[in-house]
Amino acid sequence: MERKCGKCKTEEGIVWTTDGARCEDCFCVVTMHSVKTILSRNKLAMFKSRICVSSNPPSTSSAALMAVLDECLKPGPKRKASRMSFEVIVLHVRLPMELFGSGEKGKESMESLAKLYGFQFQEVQLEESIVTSLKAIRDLDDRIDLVQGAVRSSLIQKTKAMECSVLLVSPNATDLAVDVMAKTIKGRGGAIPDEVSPAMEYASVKIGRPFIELTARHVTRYSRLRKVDKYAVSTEFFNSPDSSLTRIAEKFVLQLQEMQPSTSTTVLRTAAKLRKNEAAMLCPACASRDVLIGRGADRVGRSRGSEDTHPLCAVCTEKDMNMSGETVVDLARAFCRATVNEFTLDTEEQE
Amino acid sequence: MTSVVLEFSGGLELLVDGKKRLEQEVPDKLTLGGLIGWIRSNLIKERHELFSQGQRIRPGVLVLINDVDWELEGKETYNLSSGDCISFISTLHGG
Repeated sequence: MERKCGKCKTEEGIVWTTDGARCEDCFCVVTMHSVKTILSRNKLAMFKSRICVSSNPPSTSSAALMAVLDECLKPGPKRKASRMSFEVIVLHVRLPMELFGSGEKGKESMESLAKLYGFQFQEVQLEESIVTSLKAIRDLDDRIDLVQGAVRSSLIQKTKAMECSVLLVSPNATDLAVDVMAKTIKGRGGAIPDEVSPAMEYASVKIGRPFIELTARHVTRYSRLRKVDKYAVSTEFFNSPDSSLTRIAEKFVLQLQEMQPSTSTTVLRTAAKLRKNEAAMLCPACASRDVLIGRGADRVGRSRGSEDTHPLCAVCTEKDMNMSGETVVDLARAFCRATVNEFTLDTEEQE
Repeated sequence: MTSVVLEFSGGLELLVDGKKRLEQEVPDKLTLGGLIGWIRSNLIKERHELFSQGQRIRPGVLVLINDVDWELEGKETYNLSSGDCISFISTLHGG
C-alpha cells in the first residue's frame, strides 16, 4: 500500500484512513479541524468563556478531548496567540464498578491529565441514595440507561453550579451510532434526533459533542499520537459482548464498520434526519426528502396540464422527469403518504 | 524463535494479567495473523472472545506495527521480524 502521506505527499504515512495514508502532522491537523469546526459552528467555545468538560467515562475519548482542547488553546505556527481563548473545567463523576465506573483509578487518571494541561478539575458525587437505587436495578440495559441519565444530570447540575453554560462530552461517532442502534432496539427512538446533534440544549446547558464526526478508531489513534492513551481507564472488559442490548448493538456496528468504514457516520447522518416536522411532507417522487408546505413553502413541480400542484423536492425537480401531469399524480399516489388532496394551496398563490 | 514486543492497552491489558508490555519469543516465520492466534492460545487465559475470533482480531481493536497502522503493512499477512513492536489497542471503552 502507498506509504507516503496522501495530504502533504512528503512525509511517511503512519495512520490509515479511508482517504489513504496520513502522516502524524496531517492526521492531527484533520482532527483539530473537525473539532474546531464543531466548536465554532455551534458556539461551544466563545472567547473568554468558561466551559465544562466531562471526563466520563475515563476513556481514550475523554483523554483525547482534553488533549484537543489544550491544542486549541495553543498558538498556531504562524500566530503569536491562539484565536481561541476559554477556561476549561474538567468534571468527573466517580462511579463504582457495579455502575460501569472505574472508581478511584479513573478519577485519579483524569485528574492527573487535567493538571498536566493546567485545567481545573472538579469531582462530582452522586447521591448515595441514587447509587443504592441504581445498584438495585437488575436489568443491565435499564441500569446502563439510568446510569447515563444520572451522570448527565449530575454533570449538568455541576456545570450550572460552576456558572458555565456549555458542557462538552466525549462520545465519538462510533459511540453515538451504537447509542442510536441500541435506543432504536429498546424503543427509545424519541431521543435520537437530539442525541445525534453536535450540540443540544438541555436544562439551560448546551451539551456539545466535538467528536461527533470522528470514529472511535480515529480518536484512539489521535490519543496515541498525543500520548494520552495511557491515562485512559477502560471499563469495557467488565461486561461480555453479549451481556446487554447495548453491547450487542456495539458488536453489530463494529462488524459492519469492518466492511464499511463509514458506517458510524452514515448511521448518525441518517438518524439526524429523523424529525417531526409538521410543516413538511415527503417528496412524492423520491419519498426521502422533505418538502415544506404552507405559507412560504417551496412549491415546485407543478404538473403539466393540471391545476393542482404536486410538491417535489428540489433534487427531483431538477431531474428531467419528462412526465405528463397524470404520471406525476400516479407517482405521488404510489410513493407519498400524503395524497394530493391533503395538500392545500396557499390562497394568495391560487390568485 | 523471533523476539517481539507486544503492547496491550485500552483495557486489553486486563486479559494478560494487567501487563501493558511484554517481550515474547514467538515461532519463526510467523505472520501477524499467526501471532494473533498464538497470543490467544498462549497468553490469554480467559475471555478469548474479547481479543480475537480465531486468527482474526476482534472488531474494535486497533493494531499497530512499530507505531504504523497494520493496514499499511499488509494486515494479517505481515511477516514478523525480530525486534518488531506490535501494539493492540482497544477502541471500546464502555461507560
